[in-house]
Amino acid sequence: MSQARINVPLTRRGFLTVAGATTAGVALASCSSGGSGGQRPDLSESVELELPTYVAPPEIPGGLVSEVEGMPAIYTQPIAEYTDSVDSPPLSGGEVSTFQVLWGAPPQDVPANEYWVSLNERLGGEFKPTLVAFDTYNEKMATTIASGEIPDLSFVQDTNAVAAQAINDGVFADLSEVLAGDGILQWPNLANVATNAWSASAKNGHLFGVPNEDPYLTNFPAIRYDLMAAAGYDAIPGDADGYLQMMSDIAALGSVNGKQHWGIAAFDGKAQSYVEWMFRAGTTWQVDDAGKVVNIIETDAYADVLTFHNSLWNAGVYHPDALALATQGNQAAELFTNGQVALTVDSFNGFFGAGIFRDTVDITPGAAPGLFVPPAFDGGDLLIQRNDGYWGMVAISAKAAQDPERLTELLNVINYWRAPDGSTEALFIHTGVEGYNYEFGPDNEIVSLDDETANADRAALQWLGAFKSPSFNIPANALEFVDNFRECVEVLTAATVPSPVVGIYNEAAVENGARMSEVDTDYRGGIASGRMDLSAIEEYREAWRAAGGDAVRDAYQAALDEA
Amino acid sequence: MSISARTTSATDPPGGATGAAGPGRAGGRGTDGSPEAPSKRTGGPSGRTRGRDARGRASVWTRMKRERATYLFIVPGLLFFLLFAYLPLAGNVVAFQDYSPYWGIGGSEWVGLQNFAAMFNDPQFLRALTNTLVISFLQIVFAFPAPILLALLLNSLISERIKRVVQSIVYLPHFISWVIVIAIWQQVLGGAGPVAELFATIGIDGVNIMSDPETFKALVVSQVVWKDIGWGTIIFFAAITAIPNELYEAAAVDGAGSMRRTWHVTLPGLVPVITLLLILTIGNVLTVGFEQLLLQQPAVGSAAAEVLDTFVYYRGIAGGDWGLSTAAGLFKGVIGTILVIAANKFAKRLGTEGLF
Repeated sequence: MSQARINVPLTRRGFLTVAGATTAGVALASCSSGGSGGQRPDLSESVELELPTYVAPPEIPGGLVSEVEGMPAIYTQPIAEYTDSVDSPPLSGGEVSTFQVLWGAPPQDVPANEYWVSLNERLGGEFKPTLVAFDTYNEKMATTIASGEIPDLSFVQDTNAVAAQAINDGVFADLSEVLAGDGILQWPNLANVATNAWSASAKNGHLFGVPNEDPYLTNFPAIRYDLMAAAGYDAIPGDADGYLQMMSDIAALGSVNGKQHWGIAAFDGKAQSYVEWMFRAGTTWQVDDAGKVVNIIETDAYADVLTFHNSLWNAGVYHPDALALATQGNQAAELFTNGQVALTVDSFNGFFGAGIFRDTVDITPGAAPGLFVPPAFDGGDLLIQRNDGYWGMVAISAKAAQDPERLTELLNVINYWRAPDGSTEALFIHTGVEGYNYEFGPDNEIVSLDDETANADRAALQWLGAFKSPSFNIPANALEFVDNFRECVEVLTAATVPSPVVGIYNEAAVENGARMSEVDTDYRGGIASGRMDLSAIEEYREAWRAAGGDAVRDAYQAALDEA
Repeated sequence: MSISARTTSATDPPGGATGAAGPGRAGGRGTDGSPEAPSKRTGGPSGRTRGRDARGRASVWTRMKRERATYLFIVPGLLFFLLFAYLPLAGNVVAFQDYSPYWGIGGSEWVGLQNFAAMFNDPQFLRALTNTLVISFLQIVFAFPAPILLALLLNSLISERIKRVVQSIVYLPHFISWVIVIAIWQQVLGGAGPVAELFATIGIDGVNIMSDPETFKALVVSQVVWKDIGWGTIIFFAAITAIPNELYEAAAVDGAGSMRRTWHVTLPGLVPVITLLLILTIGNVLTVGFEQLLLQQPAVGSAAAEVLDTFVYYRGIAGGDWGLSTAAGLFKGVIGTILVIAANKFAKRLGTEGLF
């Protein structure tokens, strides 16, 4: 794809003025934070985007490169030699402020935090992050923007209404021109961003940030093979009925070796998805034979998916509080790690980065967790929706970007962060400071010092939101899980298909997203748990359409018709 | 004695706390600096003058000046309310805008009553309103009288020690945040908790009190009672202590038993406090708790758990539709104000003092 041809009119609400309200507004004008100085970008007209040039990241010897398209390389061997990917510090003094997500414990302050001290040195300036727990991302984003003090770099999750509104309002700089074509080569690490990530994250031809690249598939189902064996299964059954029977049998065991367990802890989007794969329900938005855009919930396969979940529920596979646990993410993951759940769905970062596999084995003697490929309902092929290619982006404050030199510096910082595997910068960002977070073993392998404070110091600061191209770096203590991981991920990745609407900028989706997802969660949980009858699915579809589903569809339909 | 140029007695408040008692200093600074000279200043929209009015009382301004030390004490409180309660009220104009946090109130588009129209046409809003009213009604009927009953009950305990111990125990939940309260309830009453297990042992499977939308509203009210009943008794205890002992003694002499004493002495003594709190509660009729409901919504679904506050959260904070959210908040505020005024009038008509 060389350019994005998208034209979705941005419908601002009509204008109707009440005299009284206007007067009050004039009186209150001084209270406004004001985006003074900036301008609202005109996103209503689609423009042709000259995509940034792509340069493949350097190949690292020792990686397991797969034949399967979209499968990231797996690194199990220590990297022999690290090279610099950045010549000089990104900043020339001063500071860089960021707005970024905090996933775990907050870091210590400088100077106790050696990672931070080192980061400041390496950046050549002071790193000043605003760390925001993802649960409060919306609130913090809105209040930060309302304050008028926009940090230099912000992680923008643009499927999120508040963040998307900020893009529309001109909070962030339009980077399309600076990064167009060979312009990006000034920042070689940014040129490693895959082309489809740029085109998918563009808004009607405008780039508002460096996308956080995503592999084809992020979340994979994992099961406790030991519990399967205890229930009398040595392999995953070949169809949905067999799978249901197996899960029912595992749940019916109740406890193994004195430890009580359930089948699945939480009924959340991830648990929902893999059953959609099994029933080949397809991508969230799909085009039917008549060329009409339909949503997955309107398909017959979707009704089968919910029926299947309900069967799992009735068979006692789900934890009784599975609906509540769906919004208590960590608790559900901990139940698996503690050996109290047979099945979980998580990402590479969860299984290997956060050490779910390692901990599960260490905590429960005999536990044998591993990924599995769920069977298609009829024993045929799976159908899996491919990721859109990115998950959020790092955007630059429009005010800060008014000065071209400052803009260059800020792009330098992102360039530093995006350093590829095998670079000293990537080693620092992803592993930390030698002697503080890790040390090198005899074969140049990285040995973690297992200092929780030091690791939290690193983890909290390093999540800027744009990282090296996807790859799986296996920690030395988790090598035993690699073969199973690789086999399953290859099969699953090969079964992915892209969404037909990827890269189409849809304002209705942003405006109505929260409402639609509320309806969705509500009915999905209701039907799966048996609180609602399956016949409520028509009401579900109606409510979802009224909550904005139809508006979103119309926008996609118009965009696809035009293309 | 100076006489002001214009008579303002008609607009003067009738002798308030700052009263005209005592001659004090004669009014204001005359232009010639002499207190005896008539004030020539007649400015100000009400035409009120410094100095004294026709009846010889000091004007408000004069009295305020005289009592400036006392008034100074009001300033911090007044500033607090102006800054943190009244000024933010002006932010309600967002309800008439397609508000953008970045462009602020000055830069956002005015959309008139469109947010209100969208709100009333929204089935989710109407459902939230219905749920709010139902929960509120249940809270007034069950959760409001609960502390009164507990206070009466505790008051009838003879042992001071037992009374203190019980009081301390029932206060405690008030200091636990809703997140913890819900977690505790889920551990105990949830599908994996001891209550469900108990039912399972007698052959009733799948009992999950925490995720039944049918009984959810009763659950919400029970949680409120559990959490705040002890805290609520504090005020009633204070009121009970204020009832003179002679009344009880006289009643006892007249042959009243403990029930009759409670009915004819304690309860009437509590009526002013009960009225006051009831008026305040009625003013909050559209506020039934936020965290408590937000946390439990996934388990029971929004049909049972969506209330106005969670609606505002989902639309405004999660959905970025600040205008619509503010409209819902403003609606709540207006209804609350009307209810407080109405309840106050009603209370006065019933013969109690009311709130204001």
